Amino acid sequence: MKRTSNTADRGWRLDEELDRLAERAGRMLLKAYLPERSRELLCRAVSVLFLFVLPVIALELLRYLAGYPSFGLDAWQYGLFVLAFAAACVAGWLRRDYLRQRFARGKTLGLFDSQLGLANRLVTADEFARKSERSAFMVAAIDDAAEPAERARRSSLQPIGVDKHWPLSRWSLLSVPGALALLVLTVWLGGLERAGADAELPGGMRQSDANSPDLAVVARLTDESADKEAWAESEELAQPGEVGADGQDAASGETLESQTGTVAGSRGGQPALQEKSEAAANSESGGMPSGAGSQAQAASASGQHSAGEDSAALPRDQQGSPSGSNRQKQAASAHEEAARKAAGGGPSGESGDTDNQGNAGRSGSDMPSESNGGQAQQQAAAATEDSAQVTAADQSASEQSGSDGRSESGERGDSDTDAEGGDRRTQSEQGQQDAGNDQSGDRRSAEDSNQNGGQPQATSAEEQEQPNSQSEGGQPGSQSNSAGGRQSGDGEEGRGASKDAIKKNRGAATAMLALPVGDRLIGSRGQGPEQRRQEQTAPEEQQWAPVATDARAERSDRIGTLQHASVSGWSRDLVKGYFDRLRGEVPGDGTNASTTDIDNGQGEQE
Amino acid sequence: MTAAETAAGESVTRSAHASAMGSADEAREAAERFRTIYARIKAQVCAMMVGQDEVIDGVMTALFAGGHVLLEGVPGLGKTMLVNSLSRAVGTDFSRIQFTPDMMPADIQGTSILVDKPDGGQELRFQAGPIVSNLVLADEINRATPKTQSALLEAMQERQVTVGQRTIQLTEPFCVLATQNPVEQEGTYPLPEAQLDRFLFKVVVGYPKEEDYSAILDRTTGSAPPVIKAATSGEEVVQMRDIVREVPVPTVAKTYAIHLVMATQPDSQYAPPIVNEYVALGSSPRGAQSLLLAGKVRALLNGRFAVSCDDIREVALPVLRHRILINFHGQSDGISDERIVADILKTVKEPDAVG
Repeated sequence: MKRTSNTADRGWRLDEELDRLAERAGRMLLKAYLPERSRELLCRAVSVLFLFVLPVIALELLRYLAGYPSFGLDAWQYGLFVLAFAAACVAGWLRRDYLRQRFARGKTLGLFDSQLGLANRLVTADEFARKSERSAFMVAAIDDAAEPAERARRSSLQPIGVDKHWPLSRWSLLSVPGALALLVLTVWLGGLERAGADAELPGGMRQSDANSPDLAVVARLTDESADKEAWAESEELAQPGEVGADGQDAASGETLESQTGTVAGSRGGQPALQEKSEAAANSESGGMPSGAGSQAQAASASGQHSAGEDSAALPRDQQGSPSGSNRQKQAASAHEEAARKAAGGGPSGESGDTDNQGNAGRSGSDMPSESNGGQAQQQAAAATEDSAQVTAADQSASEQSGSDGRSESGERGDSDTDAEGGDRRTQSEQGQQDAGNDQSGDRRSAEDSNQNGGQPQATSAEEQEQPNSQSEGGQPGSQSNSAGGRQSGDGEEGRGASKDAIKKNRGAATAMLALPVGDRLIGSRGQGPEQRRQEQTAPEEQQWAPVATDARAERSDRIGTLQHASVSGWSRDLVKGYFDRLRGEVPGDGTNASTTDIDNGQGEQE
Repeated sequence: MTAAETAAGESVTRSAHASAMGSADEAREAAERFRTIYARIKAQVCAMMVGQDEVIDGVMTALFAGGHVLLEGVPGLGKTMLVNSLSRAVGTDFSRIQFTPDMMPADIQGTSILVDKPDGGQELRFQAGPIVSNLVLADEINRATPKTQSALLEAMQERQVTVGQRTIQLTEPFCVLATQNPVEQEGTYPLPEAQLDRFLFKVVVGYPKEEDYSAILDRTTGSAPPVIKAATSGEEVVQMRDIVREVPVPTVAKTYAIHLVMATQPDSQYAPPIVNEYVALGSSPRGAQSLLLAGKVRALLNGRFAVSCDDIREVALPVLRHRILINFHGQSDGISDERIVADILKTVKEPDAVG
């Protein structure tokens, strides 16, 4: 009985000992498991590497949908991002495995069994010790494990030799070029979209560069086609009247000056142009002399570059002459019509005073009639603070131009009726404001309204603007559209466009053709069909020396052990014939011979 | 769970463990007795047989595991003598059946013969065949026709013989020790798979080693042939079989045996490529049973009280080799059963193996 209790105590201690051993082996297994698991996870990550490109694609897609400009990252930068993302995923998964990994108790104790040669004694004892009912042999097996457990406690485990092969198949390696292709495709598409936007900008300007209002204006200046058109129009418009001619000359001559001045004006305030617009405003407010009006409109037609200048001129037009603010008033007042015609004979017909008049309409409705251009600028800037994305110096101008653009679009909508009336614009005589232009004007107005977030000011401005400013109003809108149209700073676009006084082709076809899809794939010309010709060659004579039977040596060595029992002749022929038939070679001799032999044998037996 | 409950549970476990200690000593004594009897029988057999330790161990393992053995070897290697010696060492009934192509099932199972009555009349009396014995030597079993071979099926599996309306229960220990000659295949009938599957072991008897030849010649050509005494009895053999059945099998060994058997089956989860390519038919679940039974005997002989994977591995070749049917490609490529089993043993890892 005493012995029994001692054995029971020993068995009880064995359970605790097995717990400690399992814990030790578990730590050892975890050390060996992590590198293997990391290899496995890395291989898996490689095999699904193309999935890690998906965030990049999603990012580009989101950027595109949200209308943000391209990130401008190269493929290798995206590749680094993908690799970093994959590494982060692998590391996270490895940490999760490390925290959650629990080795089976049998596996941990089996490590001692295998390393110490215990013939599963520890695993068996552990399993039997956990059973509620044990047979005599089970208890004996548990007791039998006491000594091996003590041995295991004293000994240290050897490092586990883990298979270091990388479970990477050839097919999973294909994922790498697949991911690379996806990445390059994504970057290429992003670059294509960027290039498409850049292509609409003149002079090879990039979309990112176009965000800068100064550079945008400079780029527009380099647009040859627009310049030609503008020059041609300016020459045509230079015909009417002396004042108009002067105005036109001034306008044509001042086009570049005013545009360059616009750059300065947008930055500094354009004092010269402001003075000119103030003078025009004063003259208009005083009865609106034709010269002054033409000058003002020429200034505006030449590009309406400086928002301050334009807005300063326009309020004066509108406020000074009621015709500028309202069509009904224009129809009622012949003097105003004459003044408008005189002004319209200049640049207004071509490029229009849209911006100015739009601003004038807007500012006219908001401001008193004596307000000068500076006041108009300030008020316009205050009115459009929401859309400001530019610097403080440019902000007022850009907002004003943005509001100009909006008003222009509205004017464009009105310009249809104005062109039909044919009372104000010389452009209508030149056939510039055709139906397409009107449509583009409508379209532009819609786009502008979209870009401006549907600001109500545009609508109110449209209603109040003078009709002769409508034709110009279309252009800024078109420019803003062609510049990409997705820029948030719509005011910048509109302003820059209104200052251009340059007409551009518009429409879906132009937009489609504007996408510069260059030939990226350079192929090689095929070699053409092969021509083969057979030639007859003379056979070569070969030498063969016959060997006499007597010359052969005797066979003295053993032939070795036959692996298979020898087969009788008829069965060998039967098998040979079978396989010959199976291969399609039907040697009639062999088959017939064996058949004949068998038949003969049967005949003999009979 | 409170500390008191925990302590109570521990005390219950301790008491249960202590109550089983008495039977543990019995288990040790039974295992020791088994090893002693085994050694005594083997000593008697080895008095006649020289060398061939693996063959003797295989036959005796099958005997104590309750299975049947198929001995394969060329003539003159002592197969029949081994079985004869074993039967005498065990001290049980022994019968020998020499299979020939013209043998009929009645020659094995027995038949009713017409006998004269003492009072002058005649009657049909059942005359039991040689199968009704404890140790049956089926010599050159592959020379009999499949019909005759099939007469052994019921006896080997159900341990009974049915002749007409009569069913005879065979007495234990019952063991069929069959021999077959791998050469001289003309006029032979290969054993059907159902028959092969009923043999626990297939032991291949090879040529003796050089150092054994001298002892063989001395013993067989001397004037005093060795005398074999009964080292045990039939009843004791049955008790040994019961002890063998008591040996527990842990999960790890059981799983390993299952994996090995499944590895012999083509297109299974554990089958190595050689099995998928060259094996037409794998082992049945009877193979797993045989692995465990033979493993239990090996565990007792190795001084353990439970089966380990080493025991399973030790008996895998004689248990599985005749349960694998090699296809035509394997035969044409010279693939042997031994090579396939060796490849399986190399491929299939123990369930708790690391790495």
